[in-house]
Amino acid sequence: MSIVLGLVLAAVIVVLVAWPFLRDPSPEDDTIRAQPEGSLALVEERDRALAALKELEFDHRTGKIDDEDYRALVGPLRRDAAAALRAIDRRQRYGGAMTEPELPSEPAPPPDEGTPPTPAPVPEPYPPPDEATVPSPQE
Amino acid sequence: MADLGRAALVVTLGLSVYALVAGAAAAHSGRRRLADSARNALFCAFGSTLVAAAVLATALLRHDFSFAYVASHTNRALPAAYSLSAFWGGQEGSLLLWLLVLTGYGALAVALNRRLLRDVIVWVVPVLGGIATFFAFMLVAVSSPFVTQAASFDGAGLTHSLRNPYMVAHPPMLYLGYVGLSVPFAFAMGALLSGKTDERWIVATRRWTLAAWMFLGFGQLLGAHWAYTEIGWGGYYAWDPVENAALMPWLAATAFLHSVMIQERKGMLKVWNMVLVALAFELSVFGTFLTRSGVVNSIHSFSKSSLGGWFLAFVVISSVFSLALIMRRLPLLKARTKLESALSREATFLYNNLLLVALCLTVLWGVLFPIVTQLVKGETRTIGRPYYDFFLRAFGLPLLLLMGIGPLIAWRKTSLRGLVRTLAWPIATAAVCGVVLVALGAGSSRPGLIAYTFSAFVLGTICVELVRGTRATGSLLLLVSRNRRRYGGYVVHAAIVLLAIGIAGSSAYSHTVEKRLALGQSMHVAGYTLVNRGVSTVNPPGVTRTFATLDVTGRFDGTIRPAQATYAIPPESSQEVSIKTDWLCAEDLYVIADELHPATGVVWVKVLVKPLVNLIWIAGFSFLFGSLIALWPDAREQRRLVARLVPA
Amino acid sequence: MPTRSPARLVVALAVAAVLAVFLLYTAVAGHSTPTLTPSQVAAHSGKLAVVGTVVGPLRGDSHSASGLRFALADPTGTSVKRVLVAYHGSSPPPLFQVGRSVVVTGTYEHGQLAGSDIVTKCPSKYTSTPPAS
Repeated sequence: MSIVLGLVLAAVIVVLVAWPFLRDPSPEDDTIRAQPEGSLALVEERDRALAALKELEFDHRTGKIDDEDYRALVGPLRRDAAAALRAIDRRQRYGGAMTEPELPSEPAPPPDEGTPPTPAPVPEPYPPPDEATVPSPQE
Repeated sequence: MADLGRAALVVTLGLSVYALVAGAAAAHSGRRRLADSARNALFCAFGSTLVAAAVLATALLRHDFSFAYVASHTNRALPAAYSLSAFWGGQEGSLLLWLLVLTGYGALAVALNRRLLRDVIVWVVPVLGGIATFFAFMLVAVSSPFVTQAASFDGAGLTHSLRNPYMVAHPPMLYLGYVGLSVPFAFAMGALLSGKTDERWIVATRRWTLAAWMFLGFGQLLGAHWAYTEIGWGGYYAWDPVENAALMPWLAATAFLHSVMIQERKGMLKVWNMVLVALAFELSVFGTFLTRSGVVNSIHSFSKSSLGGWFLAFVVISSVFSLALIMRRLPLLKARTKLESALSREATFLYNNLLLVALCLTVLWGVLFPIVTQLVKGETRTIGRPYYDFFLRAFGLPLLLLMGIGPLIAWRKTSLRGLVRTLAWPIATAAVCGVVLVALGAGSSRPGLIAYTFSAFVLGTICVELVRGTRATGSLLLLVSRNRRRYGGYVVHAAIVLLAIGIAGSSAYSHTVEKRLALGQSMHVAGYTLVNRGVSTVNPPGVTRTFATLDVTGRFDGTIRPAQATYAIPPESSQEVSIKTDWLCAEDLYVIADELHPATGVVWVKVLVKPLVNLIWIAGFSFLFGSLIALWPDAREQRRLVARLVPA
Repeated sequence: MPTRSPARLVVALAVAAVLAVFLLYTAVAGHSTPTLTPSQVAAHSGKLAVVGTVVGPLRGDSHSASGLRFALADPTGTSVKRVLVAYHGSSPPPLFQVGRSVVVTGTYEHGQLAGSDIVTKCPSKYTSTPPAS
């Protein structure tokens, strides 16, 4: 009994291990398809930037970061998020023409000195990435 | 049947070698079909290991004494649950359990990530194959559970100290933890080998690491509870090498869990994370080496077996391999950004990491010290408890404090002013607690008092965070479900605080009295009075139980019967301590009957009063609860990850 | 953004602090206990621990004035040296029996070990099963 079981299992294993070769004896392309690197990296960059902004807003709302620090930190983060969104947009328009989009260096916008403490909501065409969804503050 | 088991293990070995060799060749030359084949071999390795495990389990449940393993660990009278738990009660079976969990975890991790992390997975397969090859080789050539013999009539039976529910839960849980650390390690090595050293492998293995860490932590608490209630020496942790073997990888994994958050957000500490995950993995295998080699004296130990050398070789080779790989890929591990401020959450995580790793290395030094002195001086010297207690306080108390301050500091940077304002309330609470505690007499132990006040502080900060978060989101439930990782983490922090309070209370503020009580004599210990009402013996089948009857008055009113039991098969005796818990103050009255004289009614008792010790066990559940919150799958996150795969 | 990251300084200071704590302890308070086999004990005295197999007969009582008396033999069995032990304190752990491997900690003076602590080992379950002949 155990011999029969053993033989059956052995046969199954051999078939499974050889399956990629059995299924496709003469493929046109046997190379490992590399990950579509460019777009995935951009999407991750965008998500990271948006998540950081979300977290900053949440921490500001809960009082962990005071207004002064918020003003200092939100500028660079918004720039990063905008750059990531622009890069994705560019990729969608021009397809895979660029592997790593070359962003012309933008002149830094003036420091947000006149910005009131209430943060303006970040434009969100994409679903919020992580953490708390912060409704538009009405302070 | 044993042949089937043996054959299944040989097949596993073959498949693991194939996964290693073919997988590496396929990844190196970029051949798709070969890579897929190697991956399938890994899946099949789990299948054949499962067959071997089923054979052993069936033999144990059927009391098939033609298996030498079954004969030496069970007997006919043993209930089914314990017969099954004998699977991991001995060396060979426990190795088989390790291999089963390894191949199972490996197959699942590869299957779930094969589309998202294609480039990394082709290298993860040979790494997992390599680890599986080692364990399969041990099982086939060095330590087989399928050795047969002329079937004896009955077996030797399981040691009585292992015949309890803990034996069913504690080892498998620890193994799910130990072996679980192989997955992030394999992915880390896969990331290095494939050159894709961005954060993807961390995000993919985040839940695996958390789950392994949860099992390892809870498994240790189970072991502590086992020692406390069943072994009955009055404590729950002895800094024994086998206990430390589980603590060290857990500490490294705790550090890793925190530092990966920095890498995810800021692309920093890439090299540090690689080293940490390799350290956690190597420590988990090293722990197994310690337990089996007989190289250090331990209450759990096991005489010298030939396995020790093999395990040491594996640890050395895999360590050298991972270090060489890290050094080779150093250019790919450059930080994307820098630390911006010494008062930022990144910085507090860094401090936390340093303290945790320092504690881990201190414990490692304590464990290795006898081996080192033997090699250097030719004479073994053992480090005692005071060493561990000192460093637990030196590193543990600052860690406790950090656990309170860290969550209140934001990423990137926080102003000192804002921080002090937020800390005002928790500090005030802690100060008030401190004063109250001193008034209640807690000043008798300075480290204990510090631990209590720090704990009050941390609980205060957790409250502040929960209140602020609830105010911002509107509901506590919504807050936690939207931020599972963060608030699950806070619940775990609360568990650690409870653990700290429980440990401080039961060690720094406990009372121990040893006394000889004649018939009718009484003794007083910290609010309890015990009177000896006599010593008697009962003889249920297979065991002789001698117990003392003691009437207790005070915070507990009743009768207790601490006993000593002597078993016939196999011949052993055990301590049956009497524990009475006062849940209102989480205190235990712990009585050991040290020496009993039925004829004269004289009993030597050791009475321990351990305040707050039950917080340790409550902490275990809080720890599980918090980890589960953090682990819980997030539908929105899943949708987003899947959406990424759609080509832009 | 500062050009020199404070991270390196932080790490260096922290490592130095940890080392300092460690060195302080080992210099001031740390002392380890020699853990010897019966054959190695002769040259030593003072606080130490002896690893060995319990040799009977067991005489006396750990709670009495003269203590529980037994001998310890070399665990590997290669030497015939014995160490005489007089153990005082709580009863030895339940697994303590003649023939068990134990570690006794105490003070060794005048050819005898005044034992204060006994640690027994679980009966060996982690030995390799010898292959069936």
